[in-house]
Amino acid sequence: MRTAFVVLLVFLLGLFGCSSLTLRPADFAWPVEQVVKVDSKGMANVMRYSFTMNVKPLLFEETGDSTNVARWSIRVLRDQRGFYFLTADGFKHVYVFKQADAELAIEERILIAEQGISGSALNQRAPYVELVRDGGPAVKLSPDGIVEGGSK
Amino acid sequence: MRTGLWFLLIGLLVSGPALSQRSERAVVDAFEGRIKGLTRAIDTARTVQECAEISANIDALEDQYRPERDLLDKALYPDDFVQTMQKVRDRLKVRQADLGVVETQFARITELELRVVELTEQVSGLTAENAKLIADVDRLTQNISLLGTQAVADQRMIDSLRTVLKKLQQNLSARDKLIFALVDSIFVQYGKPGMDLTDLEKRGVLAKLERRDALTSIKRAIAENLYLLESTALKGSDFAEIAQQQKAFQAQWQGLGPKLAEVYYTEKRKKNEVALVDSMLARWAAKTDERVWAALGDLFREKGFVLEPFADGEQFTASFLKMMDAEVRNDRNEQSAVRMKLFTNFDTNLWIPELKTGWMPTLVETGKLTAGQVEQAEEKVEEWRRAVAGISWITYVLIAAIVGVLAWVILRLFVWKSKPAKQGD
Repeated sequence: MRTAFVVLLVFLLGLFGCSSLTLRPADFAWPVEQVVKVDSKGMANVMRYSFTMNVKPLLFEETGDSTNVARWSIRVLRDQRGFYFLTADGFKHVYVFKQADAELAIEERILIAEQGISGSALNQRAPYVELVRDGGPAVKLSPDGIVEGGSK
Repeated sequence: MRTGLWFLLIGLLVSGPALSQRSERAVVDAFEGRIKGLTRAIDTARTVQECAEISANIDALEDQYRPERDLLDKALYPDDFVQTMQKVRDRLKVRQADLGVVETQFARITELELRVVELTEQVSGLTAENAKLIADVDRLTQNISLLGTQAVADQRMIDSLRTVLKKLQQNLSARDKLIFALVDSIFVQYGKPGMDLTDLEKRGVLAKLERRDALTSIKRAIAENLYLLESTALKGSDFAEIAQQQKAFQAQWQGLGPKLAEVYYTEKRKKNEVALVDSMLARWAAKTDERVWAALGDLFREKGFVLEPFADGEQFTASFLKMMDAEVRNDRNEQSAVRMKLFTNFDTNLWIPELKTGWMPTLVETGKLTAGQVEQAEEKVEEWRRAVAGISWITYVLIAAIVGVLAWVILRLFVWKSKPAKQGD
């Protein structure tokens, strides 16, 4: 009997240890976008949130050039759910990334304008992110793509 | 509150089309930039007047960005909107204490500075409105001239142009007053005339005048008044008002010009600015004179009287007296009835309603005629009146009445004297 009790106890403790702990809700939204200069090594440092990332692969993906990177300023905004939206003047896309283990993993490439976006800026419009630009209407974005106002 | 509304209005005018698509980052950056600018100004302030101006600017900034408070509360770090504003005010207080600024003096000057801010906004508002009116005048004038070549210009269009011109004239007059009140409020803060200011104070006044675009506003006011004078749709009566407006402006400038000159002479680059205003003002005065005398000549022609050409008060008086003399002497040998008709026409259509009650007082007021010249003209008109009137029917009636009364008295005396004689018989 005593042995059975001990076995049951060990089993229950093991069960609790394996179950996940969830903190909900969590709001990751930044109030305003951060505009960060890319350094010569391709690193973009978001000082306000103490967060650094290598954007070389992103610039290569968008422009096909990963050498001349220091001229870029990247616009970054994190939405309510924690996805990072990245774009820049001259980009055709807005890129959506999710946080992973010491990396940002691509979630979605949202095509905005084939000829490139000018005068771009990201605004927080929870639960969405709004992209404003010259010569086109504002576009509401979610991590899955365009929600409203897009013209591809 | 009113300041906030003005800023909102100006903001809407400037960024209206882009308002729906704006970058919130840009709003935050602009606010932070303004805060940095104020902080720098506080750190370099050297006089109580500079502190007062900064204080007024802090108030204006707070009013302007209050509608963005939610955004700024989230975006500013580590402080929120209210804390950020408070920190700037605290910094200014510390600076004031360092400079030994007396609180009552600061309060009085701040009040004047707020008035300057308010006046600046009103001037800007009227300037924007005037620019729109001027565009309307150009468009209407062009339309009328196009119609004029094709057919008769539409009367409604001419009326519209006159309405717009009238509004422009009123706005110009209102803005002229505001500009001088603005410049005056800046000088009053220092509590002494321009020549008694120290070099530091003069530089302070100059910086304030420049920030408020005071001299630019004065130059713009003269240029726009000159523009108004060019309009062909103005009527004679408009010129009387325009002449008064020009005179008032000149009088104000005579009061403030020397003070401004004193301040502007401190900087080599701007030394000629005041002289430029003087020359613009002289051009305005000459143009006003030219248009006023031309309008008066047109008025005489319109009413059927032709004067010899005149371009100033002396020439006008000579020309007017010459015409009167010719009428008094009856150079054309006209019959009494014709002369009477002409004088009545002059008296009832031109002299009394236009000249005596309208033009003459204005011309005297604006210094274009002297009171003596007006008296001469009045005497000549009376002389003409006497010459054409001869003995009027009233005179005949009066004589008849006197003769009648005398006859009656004599008759009564005769009857009274003859009664006792009859009794004696």
